[in-house]
This record gives sequence, C-alpha cells and structure tokens, in this order.
Amino acid sequence: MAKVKEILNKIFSPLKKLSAYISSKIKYEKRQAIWGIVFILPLMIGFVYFFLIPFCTTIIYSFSNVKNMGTNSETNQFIGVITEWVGFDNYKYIWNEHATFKQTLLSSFGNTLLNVPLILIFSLIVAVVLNSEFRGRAFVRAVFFMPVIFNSQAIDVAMNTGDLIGTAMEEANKDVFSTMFNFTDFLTNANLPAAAVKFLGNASKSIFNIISYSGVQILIFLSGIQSVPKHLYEAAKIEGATQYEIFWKITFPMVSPLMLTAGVYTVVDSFLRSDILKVINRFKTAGNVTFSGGLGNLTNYGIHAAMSLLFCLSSVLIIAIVIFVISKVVFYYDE
Amino acid sequence: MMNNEAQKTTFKEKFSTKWKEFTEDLKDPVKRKVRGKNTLIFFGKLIRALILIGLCFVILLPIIEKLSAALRHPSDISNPQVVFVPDKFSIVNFQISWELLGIWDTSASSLATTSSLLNTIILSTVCMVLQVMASAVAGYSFARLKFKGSNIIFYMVLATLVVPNETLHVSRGLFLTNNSFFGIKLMSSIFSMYILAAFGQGIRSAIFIYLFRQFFKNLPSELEESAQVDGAGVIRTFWSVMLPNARGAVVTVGLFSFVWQWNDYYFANLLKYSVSFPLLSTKLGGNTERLDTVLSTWKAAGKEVLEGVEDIAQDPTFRGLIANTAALLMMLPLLIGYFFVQKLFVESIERTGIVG
Repeated sequence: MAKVKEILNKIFSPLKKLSAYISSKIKYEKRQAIWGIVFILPLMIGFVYFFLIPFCTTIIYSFSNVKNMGTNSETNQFIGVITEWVGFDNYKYIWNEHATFKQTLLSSFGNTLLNVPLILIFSLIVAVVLNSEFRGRAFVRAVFFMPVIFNSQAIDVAMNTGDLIGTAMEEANKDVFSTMFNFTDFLTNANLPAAAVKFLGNASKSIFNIISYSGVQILIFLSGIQSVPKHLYEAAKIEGATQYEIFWKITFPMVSPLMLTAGVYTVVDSFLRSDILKVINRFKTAGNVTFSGGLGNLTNYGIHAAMSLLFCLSSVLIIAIVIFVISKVVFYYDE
Repeated sequence: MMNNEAQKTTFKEKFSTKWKEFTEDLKDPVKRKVRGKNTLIFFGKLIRALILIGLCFVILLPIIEKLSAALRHPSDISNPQVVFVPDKFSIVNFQISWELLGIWDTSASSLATTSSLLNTIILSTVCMVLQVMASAVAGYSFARLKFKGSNIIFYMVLATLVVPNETLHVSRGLFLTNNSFFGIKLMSSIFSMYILAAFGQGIRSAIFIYLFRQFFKNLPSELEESAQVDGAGVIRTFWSVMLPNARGAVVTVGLFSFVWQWNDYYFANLLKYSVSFPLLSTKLGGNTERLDTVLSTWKAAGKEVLEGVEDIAQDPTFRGLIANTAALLMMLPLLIGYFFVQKLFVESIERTGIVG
C-alpha cells in the first residue's frame, strides 16, 4: 500500500505543483470562469451532438425528400441519408391535403390553452391546502404525488395497442362510476339548465386528467409557498387579516413568479399528450406518399419533419401567449 | 333500562345547558362574533376534508379498478355482475403478465440479459447517478461560475425543453444510425442511454439543470467565500461545500430521474437498445405480439389454467386485461419504493425552494 501511495504521489506531485503555479498566477475570478467553461463542456458537446445537429437537419428535412440508404451490404459501411430539395411541398401537403392534421392541431392548441389556467389554479389551491396543518397530511401528500410517478408513456401505449382493445374494454367494463350513479342524469333531474349540466359533466370527466397532469406543478408551488418569509404571515395575523386576505395579499403575489415556470412546464407537458402526436407518429417510419395533384412524390420522413416543426412552432406560440399573460400578474419581491 | 334512561337524561341535560350557553352567548356581541368565527372555521375544515377525500378517491380509483380487474379470472371479464369484488379470484393474469414482461426468465443461463426487472433497475440507477452528476455540475456552473455567454448557453439549454423530443425523432434516429459518437456506435447499445445522460441530454435534463441552478443561486454566497479564504479551489468548493448543501435538490432530481427513466419508452424506442437489453417498459409497450407465444408455450407445457375459456387469446378484452395487469405489475416496484422514500421526497422538495 505504501509503495502504491509513493508512486501515486510521484505521478501527482508535478500536477499539483502545476495547478498551484497556475492558481498563483491567475486570479480567482478568472479561474472560476475557466472552470465554468470546463464544467459546461460535456453539456455543450451533448447539446450540439444530440440536439443542435438533429434540430438543424429536421429543418432541412422538412423542405426535402429524405431517403435512408442504410448500409452497403458488401463493405458494411454507411451510405448515409439522401435529401432532395422540394421547397414547400411537404408543408403544402400537410396544410391542403392531409385530412386531419389541421383540425387536430387546432383542437390541441385550444385544449392546451384551456388546460393551462385550469391546471395552474388547481395546483395552486391544492398546494395551499397541502401546506396547511391537518390530520393525515402525510397520507394525502403521498397520494397527490402518486400521479407524478405513474405517468408513463409505456402504460399509455400498452393500454391503447390498437383501437380495438380500447373500445372492447370500454364496452366490457363500462365506466364503473357512470353505471353506479350517472352524474349528468342526476344534474338534469335537479332541473339545472342543459348548458350547465354539459359544462359540469365535462368538468367532472376532466378532473382526473387535471389531477394527473398537475403533480409537478403542485410540487413547484408547494416549494414556493415554503420559501415565503414567515414574518410576513406573522405580521398579517397580528394585524387581524383573515385567511382569504392572507392568500390574496401574501401567498399569491409571493408565489406568482413561479407561475411562469409552472405555466411553461404545463404547456410542454400537456402538448406532448395531445392527439396530434398520433397523427405525426404515423409518418415515423420510412415510406413514400404519391400524389396526382401536382405534388408528385413525397417521403414520410420529410412529412414527419414538417409536421413536427409545425407542432413545435405552435407549442412555442402557446408558451409565448402564456408568458405574456402571466407576466401581467407576476410580482417580484425585493428584500 | 335504567342505565339507558340515565344516559338519555344526561344527554338532554347536556344539550339544554349547551343550548342555554349558546342563546346567552348570542346576546353578547363579542361572544357572538367568536362563535361565528369558530363555526366558519369548522365549515372551512369540513369542506377541505370533503374535497381532499374526493380528490384522493379520484386518484386512487383507477389503481383500485386496475387491481380488481387484475385479480379476476379471465372468465369473469364480461360478467356484468362483477363491479369491484371479483366472482372468481385468480392470479392467472399476474402469471401471464409475469412471463409477458419477462421479469424472471429462467430459460436462459445468464441473468443480466434476461431479467427485464433487473435490467430496468440497473439502467434507472446508472442513469440517475449520471444525470445527477451532469446536471449538478452544469447547474453550478450556470449559477456561480459566470463567464461571457453563460446566460445565452443557459437559455439554449432551456430551449431543449421547449422543443419536444418527438420533433427530433426521425432526424436523431437517422443521424445516430449513420454516425458514431467519438468512435462509439450508439444504436442498439445500452451505453447510448448512459452517454446521453452523462452529457446532459437524458430525459428532461433541462429541468434538472434549471432546478440545480436555482438551488445553487439561493445558497448564501458566504459559504463559497469562506471556502475560498481557506484556500479551496473551484472543484474543492463545489465538491465539499456546495454539493453537500444541495442535498434537497440531489434527492429531488435523483428520484425524478429514476422514475422517468423507469417509465421511459421514447428513448428505448429511439435508440433500440431494448433488443439486447430487455426492459419492462418496452416489453409492456409491445405486448400484443408476445401474448400469443406465451399462451402457446403454456399450452405446449400442458398447463390448464384457462379451463372453460376457449380461444381466449383472440379476445380483445382479454388482451386489454393482460395489458392492464402488466401495467400494474410494472408500477408495483415503484409503488412499494415510493412508500418507503415518500417522506424523504416530500421533505426534500420543501427544502429545494425553487424560486424563479
């Protein structure tokens, strides 16, 4: 052991001397900047290699016909991907000829815009409630964060393998709930107007979706509420403020900067679950589409690239809208 | 009898005295106000309890439904009388899903390549460690080690969050099949996921980097300064002063990364490593084709578990039931683990203090 240590010392001592020499010559701040670049270097390599290059090629693909030539069967070397410039043909096809893309994109857009305020308000209320003291809080918290853990694409895929299974399952075990007591029937019997019944029925159906989408947002708000300075609440209580006033005058403004984070996360998350992905993913595999009406041949890869770019653009648009709206209510607290 | 009557009278007496107190209190304006406030608080608590119980029910119902469906004998599927409690209890569904997911395939000799449960645990753990390391280092650099352009790079990294992974699916797939990463072939090798995680491009790494950045920003700068005065270099400061103080962020990021890796389907599909390294999520995703082979091997082995049910494999409802049970089986380890680390998780989130 001692020998190993000696050898290691011999190897490392020049390095140590070198680093000591460098640190004596360079200011601490400059050293910090250098280390900052070194720390980010792996991230930058990954970013360029796994994000920037694929992103730029997606843009090129969306304007061209793409063919993957695969490997040369004799030499086992990659031939590569051949792209052929076709201008806006992919976009023309999507916008004018594809049967469902436009409607699905618009409906996903609307749904996401509707969902964002609902999820934000819901998760803020739940965070406030979970923050207050009551019996069984640990259990309730554990239950509320469970959807975060069980949101899995693999489970979604398994449950939707072919529409056949889904419909068959629905017919066989019809929603246990709706057969036990039908909520909408109950409301109609209570002589509520039809529009109100429809709205309440839809809301009750989407409650589960909203809960399962808002786990991370609840976490964000909860940690925000925890970091509000306690002396603000104490002062408010001494002045005789009610819980309602405390929420609107202290908790809400102090947590409002987190609305931006939570809002962006909500848009990204709920847009990824919309039906539009199903439309896009049909073009994921290699193949050709032939048209008679002037467009000629297009490849699946090119159409996929164009569709997903439009998808990406619309999510950026929603994020811009959300940031614009939320920044109107955000309040920044300066100590 | 006597006892009962005595109790009744006492109850009546109690009620009347309380009522008297109540009516007297109503005359006094101060006491009236106190009473009014107390009843308001009581009703607030009642409403809160009702809402919480309702929401917990809504969250737990699908899990209970899944469990009840999974415990049914296949012949019970279309029985309209079965709502929650199955008519015939059986674990046949679990046995089929067990083989479907390949949780413990005993047919092959070496363990590491056949047990999908073990594989998933290995993959999730390694990726968790790598992702925590990569995002902590990057987050620290963005928060404290400022250099020219570090903010621009940070916004670029956040952009990876905004651009959905699906957008890049085809170009990433084609690019990675036709190129190698510094001489390492990425396609259909399990190391591809490790490389992605280590280079900060794993599952939602941008969120983790953001979290670490906010956490390190909120730590007091005195910590760093005292380490500097004592002569610690940058790495030393990071490793022995800042990282131990960021335990909350480490726990949060670690748990999220583990869970998301466990449930991941997208990257497994993109990088195609699941062919040589079977995982729970991919086996669950592609279960329909494998169900027939599992059932036929059962028949060949002479197991008569599905007696009285003819041609069950072609029944779409049965396939749905098996998918349901397999999903439950995949979630089960996470569920058990979650109840162990739940307290740590919630507490660490409280201490994370992400303030934007």
